[in-house]
Amino acid sequence: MSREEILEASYQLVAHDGLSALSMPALSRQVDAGVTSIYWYFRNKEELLVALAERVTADVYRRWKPMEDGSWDTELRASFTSFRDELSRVPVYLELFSLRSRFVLVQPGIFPIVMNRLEADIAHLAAAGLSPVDAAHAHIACSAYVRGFVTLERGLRQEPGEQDEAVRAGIADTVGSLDAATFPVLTLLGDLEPMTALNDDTFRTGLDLLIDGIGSLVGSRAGRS
Amino acid sequence: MATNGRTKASEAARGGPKRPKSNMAAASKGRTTRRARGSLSREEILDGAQELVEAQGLQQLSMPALAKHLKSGVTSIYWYFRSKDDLLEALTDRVTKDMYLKLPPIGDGAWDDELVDYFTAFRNLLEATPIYREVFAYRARLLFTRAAFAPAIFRRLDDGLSLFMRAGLSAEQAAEAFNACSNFTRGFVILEHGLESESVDPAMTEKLHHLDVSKFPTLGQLEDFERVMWLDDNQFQFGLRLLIAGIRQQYALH
Repeated sequence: MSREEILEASYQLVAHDGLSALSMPALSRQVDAGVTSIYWYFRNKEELLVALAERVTADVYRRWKPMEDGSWDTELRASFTSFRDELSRVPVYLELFSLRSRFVLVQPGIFPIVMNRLEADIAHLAAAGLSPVDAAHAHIACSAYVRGFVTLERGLRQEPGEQDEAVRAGIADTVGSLDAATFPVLTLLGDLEPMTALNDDTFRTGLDLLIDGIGSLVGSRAGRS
Repeated sequence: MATNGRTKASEAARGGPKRPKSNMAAASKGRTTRRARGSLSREEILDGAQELVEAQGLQQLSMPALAKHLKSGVTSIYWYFRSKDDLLEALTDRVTKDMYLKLPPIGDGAWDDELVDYFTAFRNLLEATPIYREVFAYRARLLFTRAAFAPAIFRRLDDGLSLFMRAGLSAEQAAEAFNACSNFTRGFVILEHGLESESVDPAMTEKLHHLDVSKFPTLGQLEDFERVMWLDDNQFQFGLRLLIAGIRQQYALH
């Protein structure tokens, strides 16, 4: 049993059953080994978590596209589109940074990776004309949107009936039978799909709105000076 | 607890404790912490399911877990609900009706102010009530499938969409903009909830408050980095205002 095998098994465990399912006994069942062989490498669960977090952080940041020299809006869009891909690919990263964010962030092996990127991105927005505080809030708004969106998508995938065409048809039927005088907009739409769907297009719509919103901050500041 | 007395009382009401049922012996061996068969109502089961979901999340809800929570047999639950999906649907119906009744109606103010109020009220309700959060986060589709049973939901959705129409958007644009705001809000609440669940030793996060300006020239200028990065009311409003400004820009509104 190698350290790498234990890490891989804990990755799988968290990916399938969530962070709350990770315990040393559960892990030892997963790797089919005694708890002692796990303790040989990791003195406790916290140590294991740190190692796991270092692994997924390095993995995500290696592929997550940073903002580069193009215009701030193009770069921001590309970067957060790539962030969504990475979060979908590495659900354990999302889980760790959602539930243990500060614990994970302050680790010496993680802090510089995350913070240097954040500094560079927020500096990029500040250079476009935002105050440091607005730039930070704007960046967090996009980041929260992307993390939230991927979390919703993951929840939806576990929802029974989601893949079921009959369910969707049922919704459309219900909306179709509504009274137009009482529900004017819904009957005009004829379906709830456009206002509830989680997919590439709806992801893009939200991100674009946020970025256009940031653009108006840039514009108004430039206009004032 | 009270179950013991209640069991005896209900047996007495039925005309004596000696009912010749084959499971009687087993039940009395189980030290009668179990409820008498048939004493559970549909509403009590739903109450129990709601308590369980609020305490442990939707993922943990199962028929055996619920039976245990209710101190009853699984069969009494199956008497009312054929499956877990059945139970979930009933729970969703109840929660959504309940929730939409609690949301304040939309006023006659400017569309952007009303929009902020609409999604802020939505967020506050999701924050305050774990069961709403669970349902909206993880069962949104189911919720809309079942919406036929709660016209209040359609009322609320149509009103929300009307706000975007008031701003000058077409129905299609209103739907996509509504979706973006709703996804932002729902996602935000789930993340906030996750962050709040973390217990943190203040000494651990000490280094997050003030960053070294020589290493972080931009972030080092923030008065308190941790506060700024935190998902709170202020950050939520900021994001919502960005979306509204984006809507104005995107659809060329003035």
